[in-house]
Amino acid sequence: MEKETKLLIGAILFGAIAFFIPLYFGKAWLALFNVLLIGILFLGRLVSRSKEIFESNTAYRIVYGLVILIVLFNAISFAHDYGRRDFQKNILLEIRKTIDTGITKADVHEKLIYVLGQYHQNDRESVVETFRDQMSDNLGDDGIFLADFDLRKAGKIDSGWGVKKDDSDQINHFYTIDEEKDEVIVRVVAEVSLGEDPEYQNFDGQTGKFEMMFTLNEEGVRYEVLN
Amino acid sequence: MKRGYAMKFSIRRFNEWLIVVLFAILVPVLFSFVRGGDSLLPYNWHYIFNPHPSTVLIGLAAVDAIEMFGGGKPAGFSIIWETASMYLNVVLYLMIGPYLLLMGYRKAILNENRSKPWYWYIGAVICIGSLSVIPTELLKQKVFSNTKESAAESRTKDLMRAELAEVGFATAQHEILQDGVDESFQVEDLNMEGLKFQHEVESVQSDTLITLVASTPEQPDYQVTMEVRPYNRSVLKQRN
Repeated sequence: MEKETKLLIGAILFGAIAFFIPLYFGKAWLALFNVLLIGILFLGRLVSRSKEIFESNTAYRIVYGLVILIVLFNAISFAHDYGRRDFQKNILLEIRKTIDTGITKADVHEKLIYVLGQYHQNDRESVVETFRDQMSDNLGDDGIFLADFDLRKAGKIDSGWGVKKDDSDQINHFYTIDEEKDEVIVRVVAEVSLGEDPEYQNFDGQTGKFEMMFTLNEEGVRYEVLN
Repeated sequence: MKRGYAMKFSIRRFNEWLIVVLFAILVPVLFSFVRGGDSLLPYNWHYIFNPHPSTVLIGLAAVDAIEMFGGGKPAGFSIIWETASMYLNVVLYLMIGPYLLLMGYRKAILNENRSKPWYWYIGAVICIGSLSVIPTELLKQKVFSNTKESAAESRTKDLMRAELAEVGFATAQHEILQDGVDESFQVEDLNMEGLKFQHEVESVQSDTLITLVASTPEQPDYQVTMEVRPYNRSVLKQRN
């Protein structure tokens, strides 16, 4: 057996070990890096041993140049793809967060502003009472605040578009009322969107999810992003 | 005589490469024909011929990202046909192809007429295939740059819409709490700090309908218009 053939068999076998073991443990990038490295080393060794088979130095130089080009572009391609491995995930999660924030503000913030408007416009005595009157459909059991999506699902408001029983907006709403302060607090916790702190304990028992808190009292509506 | 031999030799070498180029064109065309629904070849067999193996991981990461976007759990990487094919790609393009080509050359110099053996042609076709990593990578860089640019533009638009909504809610609250909206009302009256975009009052039709416009010099062709109805159930309405 020729030395080159032995070299090829060795590279294929060693490459298989270096590739499939990390891949088995989910380290696909490491697996690809390993086998690429072995492939490049094999190629370099093969070409450097083959100078005598070319008819001229020029032919050898051309082949050598092409090999360098292939190796270089394989390396660039790997580095480039590795560098952007989380690009799409980050973009999509950012879009998801933007959507969740937008829906929350359009839903909760808007409702609380409306309650505030009703309270001041009609000279009501209590913000909490105005909230209870105006948002009666939205107040569920055990402090659960029913968002528009939940009401559409329950058929209490017409959505104009179908909401199936199994559908979920993957956003949880909760409300608490402080009678003494005449204040309403609505907390919103996302099930998908991540917050800044991965260790943050969310109001609904989740960890590290995006959470907002809206506060309504006679001074207005304010909100803060808790995570 | 010597010159005649050189010409003959040169034409033969040219013909050999012509055959290789012909195969390099014909083989993918032939494969694309048999990739139809009635193909007898195994599912996703074409992954073997991918000269750009890391795209498999980018594709799988994109599927995971979509799954996460929808609230599901990402599958991660495991040994499946798509991931295993990356190994075959490297073996084919960086090992077997160059090996066959160079072994073909070695065999050819031993022949009296220096004709190439059959495996030289296979090796040459595979090596031409591996060269396709160059234009593909250059194209990919360009596409990625465009994608990043487009994502940045979309992000700016999202931020602009979100910030205008902030201004809209603040305007509604300003009217409710201070009865502060009349024809002379300006966004500056809200004393909002840290606004990144330009917000203007387009029109005030009594205190029940205020129209706001957001714009940015970065994207002069784009602006967002929002109607604010402080005492309405639907406080904000975006027009575009």
